[in-house]
Parts: sequence; C-alpha cells; structure tokens
Amino acid sequence: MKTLAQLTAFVIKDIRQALRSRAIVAILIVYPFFTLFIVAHIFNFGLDNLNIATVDMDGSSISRRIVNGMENSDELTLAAACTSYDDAYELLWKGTVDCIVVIPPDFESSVAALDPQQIQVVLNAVNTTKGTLGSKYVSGNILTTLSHCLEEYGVSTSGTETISESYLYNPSSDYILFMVPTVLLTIAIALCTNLTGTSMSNEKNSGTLDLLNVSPMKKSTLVSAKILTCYLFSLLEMAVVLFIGKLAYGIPPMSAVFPIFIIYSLFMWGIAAFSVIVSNFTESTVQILLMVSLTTTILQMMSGAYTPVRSMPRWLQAINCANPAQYLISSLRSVYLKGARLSDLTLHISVLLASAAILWSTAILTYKKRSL
Amino acid sequence: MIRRIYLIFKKEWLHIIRDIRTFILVMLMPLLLCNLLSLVFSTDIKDISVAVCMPESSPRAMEIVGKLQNNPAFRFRGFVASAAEGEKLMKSDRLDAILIFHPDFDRIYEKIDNGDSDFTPPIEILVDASNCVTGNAAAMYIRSAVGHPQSASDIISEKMLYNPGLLSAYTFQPGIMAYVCVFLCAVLSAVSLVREMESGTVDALRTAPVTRYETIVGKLLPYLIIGIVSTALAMLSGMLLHGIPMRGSISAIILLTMLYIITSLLLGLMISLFCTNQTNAYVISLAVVSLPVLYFGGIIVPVENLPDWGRHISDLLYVRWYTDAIRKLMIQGVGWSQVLRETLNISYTTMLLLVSCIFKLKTNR
Repeated sequence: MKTLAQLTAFVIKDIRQALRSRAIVAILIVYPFFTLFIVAHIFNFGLDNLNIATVDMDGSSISRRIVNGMENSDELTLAAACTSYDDAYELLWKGTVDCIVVIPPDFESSVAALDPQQIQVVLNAVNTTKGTLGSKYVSGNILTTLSHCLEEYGVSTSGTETISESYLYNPSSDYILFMVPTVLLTIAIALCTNLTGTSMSNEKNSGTLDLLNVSPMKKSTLVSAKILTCYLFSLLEMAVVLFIGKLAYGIPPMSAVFPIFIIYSLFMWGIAAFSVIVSNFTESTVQILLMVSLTTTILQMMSGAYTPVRSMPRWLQAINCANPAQYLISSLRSVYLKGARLSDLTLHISVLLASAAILWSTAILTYKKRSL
Repeated sequence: MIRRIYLIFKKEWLHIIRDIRTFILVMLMPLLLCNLLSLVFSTDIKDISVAVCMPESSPRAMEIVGKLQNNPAFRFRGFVASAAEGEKLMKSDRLDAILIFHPDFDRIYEKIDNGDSDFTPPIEILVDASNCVTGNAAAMYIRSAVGHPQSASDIISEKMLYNPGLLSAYTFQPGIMAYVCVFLCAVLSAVSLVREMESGTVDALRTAPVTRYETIVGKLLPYLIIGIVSTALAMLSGMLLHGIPMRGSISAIILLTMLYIITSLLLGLMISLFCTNQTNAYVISLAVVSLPVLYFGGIIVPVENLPDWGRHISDLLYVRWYTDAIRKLMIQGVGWSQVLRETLNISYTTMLLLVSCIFKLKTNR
C-alpha cells in the first residue's frame, strides 16, 4: 500500500515535470501528427520514374514497337533518343537518364529468323533500388513487346496467363496502411529518448537524483515509476495515433484495438526499461542521450519498419531474433492489415512479454543508489 | 588572435578528452552505425518464404516445386493442406506467399498443350501484400521463377554501371555517413555550447580577455576535428568492409566534406543560441536536424520517390545535396565540374547560417 502511494506520488511528480518542459510538450503534440501525416506519406520504395535513353540502331518496325512499348509504360519515361551509345552514355554520366537501351542493327531480321540478337540494357546502379527494379521493369516491358511480335511470326510463347495472382491484405499496396505500425514504433522510441532519457539526465544534472536516492523509496519503486510515466504518455500517444488513423484513414478496425493495446504496452514497457538501463550505465547528459538514441536507432532500423527484415544478411537476421522492435512491427502489421487475433501471435506476444520482464528486472537490478 | 583561439581550443579539447567514455562513444558511433545500417538498409528481396498447396500430386507440378526449392531467392516452407491453413501461417507472419496448384492441374495443362486457349489458370499465387516492399516483388519473382520457360537473359543483356553487384551498401553507406556526421557535429557542438551556459562557466569566458567570436571558433574547432576524423573512419571502414569505391576526385571529396562539416557545426551553433539547457538542446537538435534529414535527405527513401512537396523540402536541405554529391563522387566517380550545383546549394546554406549566427550573436546579450 505504501509502495503504491509512493509510486503514484512519484509518477505524478514526473508527469508534472515533463509537462512543464516546453520541448517535451511540443514533441508530445507535434510528433503523432508529424509521423502520421508526413512520414507515412513519404515512404515509397517503388519505382516511379525511370528515364531512358534509347539507341535504336535498327530503325525497323519491331524496334520502334519496343520503344513505343516503353513509352506507354507508367514507370518508364523516354527522355532521349540517341544515335550512338557514346551520346547516351554521356547523358547517363550527367544524370539526365538512368538507363540506356541499345537495340542492335539488323534486330528485326534476327527476330524474323527466330534467333533474336541481344538487346543491351545499361543501368546506372548508384541507387541500388533503382537498378534492381529498373532492370525488372525494362526487361519485362521489352519481353512483353517481343512476345507479342513473336506471336505474329507464329511462335507460341507459353503465356504468363497460366498464373493468376491474388494480393492479400493490402492489395492496393497502400503505404499508409503499411506505415502505421512504423509510426507507432517511432513514437515509442522518440518518447523513451525524450522522456525517460531526458528526465533521468535532468535529475542527474540538477542533483535531484541524489535526493531521490536517499529517500525512503525502494529502488524498484523508483525505477518502475520512471517506466510507468513513460508508459502512460505512450498510451496517450497511442490513443491519439489510433484516433487520427481512424478519422483520417479509417484504420484500424475496432476489434484490433485490444490486441494493439496489449502488444504496444508490452513493447513500450520493455523499451522504457531499456532506456533506464542505459542511463544506469552512463553519467553525463550527452552520454545518456547519445547512447539511448544510438541503440534505439539501431533497434528501429533493424525492426523491418522501413526495409524488409529478410533483406538483411543471415547473421544479422539471427541477431535480430532478439530485437523486440521486430516483433512489434511484425505483430502490429498482422493485426492492422491481416486481422490476426492474439491467438495467431503467441510467439510474438511471448517474446515481447519475456523481453519486457527481462528488461524491467535488469533495470531494477542495475540501478545503483550508491554513487560511484 | 590565433593564440587566443588556440587556447580556447585547447581548453575544449581537454574537456572532450577527459570525458573519455563520451569520446569513445562519439568515435565509435559513425563506425557502428555506418557499417551496420548499410547492411540493414537493403531492399533486395531475399528468402521469400513460400509454401505449396498441391491437392493432387503430379510430376509436372513437382517439377515446378523443384524449381522453387533450388532457387536461392526462396525459402521453401513445405506443403500446406489448404489455402486456409496457409493463410493462418501468413497471419502469424511466417509465410510470404502460397503457391496453389489447381486440382485438375494436369488436365488443364493438356488443354494448353493442345492449343486450347480457354482454361482456368492452373497455378494461383497468394501473396501477402501487407508488406509493400516485398509484396509485389515476391509475386514478380515467383512469376519469373515458375512461369517463364525461356529466360530473359537470352534476349536481353543487362549491365549495371558503377555498382555491378547491386550492393545496397553502395547506395546507403554514403547517405548514412552524411547523417551520422550531421548528427554528431550539430548535436555535439550545440550541447557543448549550451553546457557552458548551464554550468555557469560562460560567465568566466565572458570575463576572459577573448572576444566572443574567438571563443566560438575555438570551441567549434575540436568538433571540426572530430567530424573530420569520424567521417574519414566511416569512409575507410566502408572501403575495407563493403568494398565501397572512391572513384572520383579525392580533393573534391575532402573539400566538400569539410564544407559539409562546417555547415553542420554552424547549424549546431544556431541551435545552441536558442536553448538554455543541454537536454533541450539535444531534443531540439533531434527534432530539427535528425528527423528531417533522415526522412527528406535521401538517406532512407530516395529523393525521387518522395511526393512533390517532399522533394521541395528536400531541395532546401543541404544534407540532401551533400548525399547526392558524395554518391556521385564516390560511386560514379565524377569530377568537380559535375558537383558544382550541389556545392553551390550547400554553400547557400553555409552563408545563410553564418550570417544569421552573426546577426543573432550581435543582438544577443
């Protein structure tokens, strides 16, 4: 009972302190809007526009059809038609175009002889995404045009219509749906740096931590109160995100609110405890804040929130199994987009639960009332 | 004057060196972030988890399954009894795609072989599109692995210039380096300037026989050195660990990086003029520097992929121009003349920051 009273009093003190800092209040208000309306809109790893220079050395009807085929594609833009590869290369070097397509001389006659010569596709791969996707789009486009041409020569190309595709859960590839879990994660991480990190370092700087250390409060109460403050603020932010999301984008479904609450709570508790652990091992403001941002940035970037987890090298994926942020993102996406229930996510929940418990107890155990 | 600046520099340097843990952290941060994140930031599609639903076993279908099993892009997760069972696995995020063979698979193929064009598709792919990055790509990969008997390489020869292995580190390492550098330079210099105010030592500095500008130059110099050394370390480690080339003019790389670091330090100075305590300075530099740079600087998302308004924002950020220029210089190997536009854009920001810092310092008392 006494512990509970202490805990409440301490949490109220922390909340008041946080609300009196203008920077923190600004972040609490601005951050959900910033992330939902700005960050969620800019993530797009597709290919919008690839500028192509063509070098048509054949000048036949087939080569013109290939060029037209690329012109009709949404993703490809014909930026230049050059007469020689060197001219085209100069454009690529300057960055005017990203890709050169060279159609060799006598291409049409080689197609008529059913032994097509090679078309050369040269891409600027400084941007890897552009290189990979660009090559898929360009060669796919050329192949489609070519197979139409070949059919006219009476060659049946076993068509691609033997395969039908269905896209489940997010068929229109809506990046907003995809990004909402990421928004929740970035908010969680911003809060734990800006709330727990700064409040610990402020207490250390102003010397009030020494005062707390000699108060009759147990260290478990003290640490839990710090975590609880951060957690309460994060719940508020979560409610704001869910509310704006519901108003602006119509997500999530009501049935998903409870699973989201459970998952987010477990993660938030763990990550808040984590920033207490970091501050236990550091002394100055810069150290605490640098260390918290460094580690949480890495957790966040490895979580699959931005780029797919499976694109990482195998050994990093193995390490990543211990990254709670990965389970948060994966399970939130399942809940948001696939309508998964808690029973589908037993693995995720148990890992998050375990990590929250471990981090919380470590935070309490490593907290030292005695100064070094 | 040089001597007075040197003395302030020496004092600040001692502060930094004596806080050895922070110093080590600051030096390790670019190394760790650059090399780890350039492995993490990759949009290559690998290890697509696929399960197969085959109501009736047929040799022809097994051949297709074999193709999937032998393809390194996929991770074969075995057979599922029904699409519903596969979807359940998908919901717990253990599966990216399910390949469903029609129960009459063989008969439909006979029809196709006989030239009949009226058939239901014998193969269906269910793709988990909840991940926008992998969803479409997974479908495209399965299609090309299963569908095309004749490979595209017969007709089309592809050449990837400047980055033949399509290593994503080539794209991301320069960007992350730029990010870490602006983060360190701006945050550290802002916090160090504010610390003097918070601890009250600024009064001692005010009464010392040095001018305000000498103090500021002297205090920023050590961070210039830290910035240069950490960027150099990041570049070197990138070259050694990821084989990132340094093809362009070295003098351009060095000078541009210097300009970039100086601009970042001025940004830190600017932030410090608006703050009174260290945590505020830190939080504000995170909000003002770190977030916009990360999202609009072309570091995670390529600038071309931003919406129009996002591109306008990114045009205003000097970090974006530096990232562009350094990618061109390091990976593509261009010379000075090709990065003039970027250099000009960075120098605008430098001048603007310089003038406003001087103005703010003049009016501040």
